[in-house]
Amino acid sequence: MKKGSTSSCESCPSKKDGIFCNLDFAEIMDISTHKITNKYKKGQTLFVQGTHPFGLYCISAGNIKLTKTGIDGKETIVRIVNAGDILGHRSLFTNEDFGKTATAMEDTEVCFIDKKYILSLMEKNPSVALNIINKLSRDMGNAENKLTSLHQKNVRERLAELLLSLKATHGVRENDRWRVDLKLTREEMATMIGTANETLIRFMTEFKEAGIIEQEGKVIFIKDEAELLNWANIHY
Amino acid sequence: MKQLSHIELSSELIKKITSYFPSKKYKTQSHLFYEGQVPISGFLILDGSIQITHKRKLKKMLKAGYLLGVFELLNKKPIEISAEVYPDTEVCFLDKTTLLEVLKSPDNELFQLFKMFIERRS
Repeated sequence: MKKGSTSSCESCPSKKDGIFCNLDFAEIMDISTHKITNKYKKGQTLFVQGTHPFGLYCISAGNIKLTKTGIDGKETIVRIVNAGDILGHRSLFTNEDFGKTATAMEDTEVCFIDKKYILSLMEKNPSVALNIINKLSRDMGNAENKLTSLHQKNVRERLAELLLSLKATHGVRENDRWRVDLKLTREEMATMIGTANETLIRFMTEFKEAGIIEQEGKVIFIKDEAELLNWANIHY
Repeated sequence: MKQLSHIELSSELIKKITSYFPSKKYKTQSHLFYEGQVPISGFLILDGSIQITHKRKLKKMLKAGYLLGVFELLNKKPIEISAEVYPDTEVCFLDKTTLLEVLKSPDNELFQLFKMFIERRS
């Protein structure tokens, strides 16, 4: 039997600008002692849509997809979170069931802190509450942008925007291009921009022919970021 | 299986436990934990059933009265089984913070109950 993982909060990717970034060493060590760290294999779920939340998940390694299943059974990727991000923070305050399912896209390491501990920490350290509010505000801004995008932009613009957003969160610089190694299927990418598989494939081909992107299997390389920005009709 | 503890659930005991810990009915099938993980909460089955597997083989179907994961949660020990909850199962979630509070208060009405479970597993 392998031993439970014991990664320290001191070395967490979220330590610098995460919700606990203002805490002192002793407080961080107290969280480290209290939290539960687990490894999830690809395809294992952290939580399932419609179940009860009872704490906060901090992602320390790997990517996790958040999906929502509609009444027709169709699954849509709402967001992909990676190391340093948190999950379950919205449910801390609403007491609503999880609205999405979180599934590991690869082998991941996730820490869990129960709700009672987090709420007491917030009472003692208002900076944690402020950082969560900051995180919620950013999430809300992103959700508004996505909604606007779905209403106002065409599929080509939405695909360009998705590629830029994946580059920003998961891109790794590799010589003259950005490598986005999320291994998303075409179907998953199509659901992320609200279009059909065939339409996505058509536009991916167009992007490749224009020399903006390259593909090696499921790995996408962004070659011309400036042109992608132009096609996305946004200006960072 | 040493990971599983069964307790006789009198309505009085259920009332006591649920006054400290929240309970919820599952609407969908979901994993509570996977083999090799440390459970993120202790779980007490109040109604319905939970499937226990080891190396992908079905080992047991648990019904009301089984307590899971408390020892592993408090000792950060990986559990050797996977647990999957079925729809309409009611589970009481024993969070670590409240468990530690109970175990630090010998006057607490649940102190003896959890102390007995932990000593039985140690």
